[in-house]
Amino acid sequence: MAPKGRCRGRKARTIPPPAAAHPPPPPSVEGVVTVADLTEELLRSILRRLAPADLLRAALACHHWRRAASRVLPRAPPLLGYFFHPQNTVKLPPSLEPTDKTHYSAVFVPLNAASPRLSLDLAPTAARGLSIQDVHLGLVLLLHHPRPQSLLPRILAIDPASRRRRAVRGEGRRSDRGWVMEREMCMIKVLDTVPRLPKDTKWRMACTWLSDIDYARTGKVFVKTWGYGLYSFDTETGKLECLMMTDGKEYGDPMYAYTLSWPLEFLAPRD
Amino acid sequence: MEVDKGKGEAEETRKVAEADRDTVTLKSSDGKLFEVSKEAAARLSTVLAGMIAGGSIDDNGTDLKQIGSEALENVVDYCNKHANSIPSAALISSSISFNTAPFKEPEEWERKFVDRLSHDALFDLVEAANFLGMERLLDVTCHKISEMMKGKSPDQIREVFNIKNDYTKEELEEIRQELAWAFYDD
Repeated sequence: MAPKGRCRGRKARTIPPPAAAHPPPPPSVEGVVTVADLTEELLRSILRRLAPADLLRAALACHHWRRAASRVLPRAPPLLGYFFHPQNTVKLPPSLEPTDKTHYSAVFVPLNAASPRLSLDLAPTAARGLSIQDVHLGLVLLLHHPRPQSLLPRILAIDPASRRRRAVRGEGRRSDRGWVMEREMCMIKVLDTVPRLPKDTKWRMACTWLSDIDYARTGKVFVKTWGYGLYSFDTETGKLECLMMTDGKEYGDPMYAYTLSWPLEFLAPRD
Repeated sequence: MEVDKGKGEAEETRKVAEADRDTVTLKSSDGKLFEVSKEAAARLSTVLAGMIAGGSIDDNGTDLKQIGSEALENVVDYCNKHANSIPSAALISSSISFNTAPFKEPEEWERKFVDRLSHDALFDLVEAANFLGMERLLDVTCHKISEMMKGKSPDQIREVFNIKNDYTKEELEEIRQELAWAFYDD
């Protein structure tokens, strides 16, 4: 974990100005303080406030910033967003009409404004007809959909962060992303806040269920429904969010959390 | 804020008065004097609190050689505004950052306070806050500077902060292999 920098004041009092481990940048004209004159300690307390994606962009500004950024990196691989295959809206119960099961190419939903808009479309048709099998160590593993029965499956591994791809042969086996979350919550009360869901308790229990836990350990769980869409529920904040796409399709299940391959080589401490 | 010291005032009277004064006088590197509430100074700055407790406050103006008059004026201005503001929930509650420590969100008036500053004044102020051990002001100024980096590409960040790119072409190419997305302005 990065140092918390709580001793800023004390340090400044005893050693003015705080001696940086590296030669200070040349003083700027007319004694005006610019960002280049800030000590690494100050720069770190600024960079520490950035979301990981912004922090990595800032680290690319110059070597001085890279050094400062490398000391305030988050320990866990940063989550950038989610990949999933959108699906058509399921008909409301009790309709037993078959729903259109068209296979759509995977899309990416960035976590926040700082996150990059990643894509699996490295070539115009690269990800078409492919289905995500797993997301692991910054790689998205795809198989043909539907999967051919005869040969050993050909797995396409795409790294959307570096925009590289390679094909690997072998048996696709899911990584073990299971984890235990122990928290007691009254889901009835939570679902009461959704206006569209049926009011009848039994009916509602029949058409809503916890489908998944966010692999990125954000404390979120996903609630799937029969005909009412997919919801994410944040167990930390108690916020329930309907996951709807702008084109009327629904978010697919499972939701593949995408985290960067971590730690990054270029931010490894060198000095 | 600048104070004209009465020259005719007797030295003795002043010394007696000092103990009861509720303000302290600070002197910038270029010799300008500023008066600030003793209570606010002690509460907001660990360094000034130490000086007040240790009796090293000079009534003719405590020398702060590292701080220019513009930055010191902003420091004093901040202290006075802080003394007048009612702490709201934002001061107590904290938002969880993506990285590590939780940071207190600046209040509305603090936001306005740093928003009106030029880049140079802002960087001067962050150094002054650091020197004086003013944790809250340091939080507010660092927050403002980090806001200026958000959502920008490395090129844009260099432009805003006037940074010289000292990465070599080869280095950038190597990083691009690992982190292509970070170069794009999307």
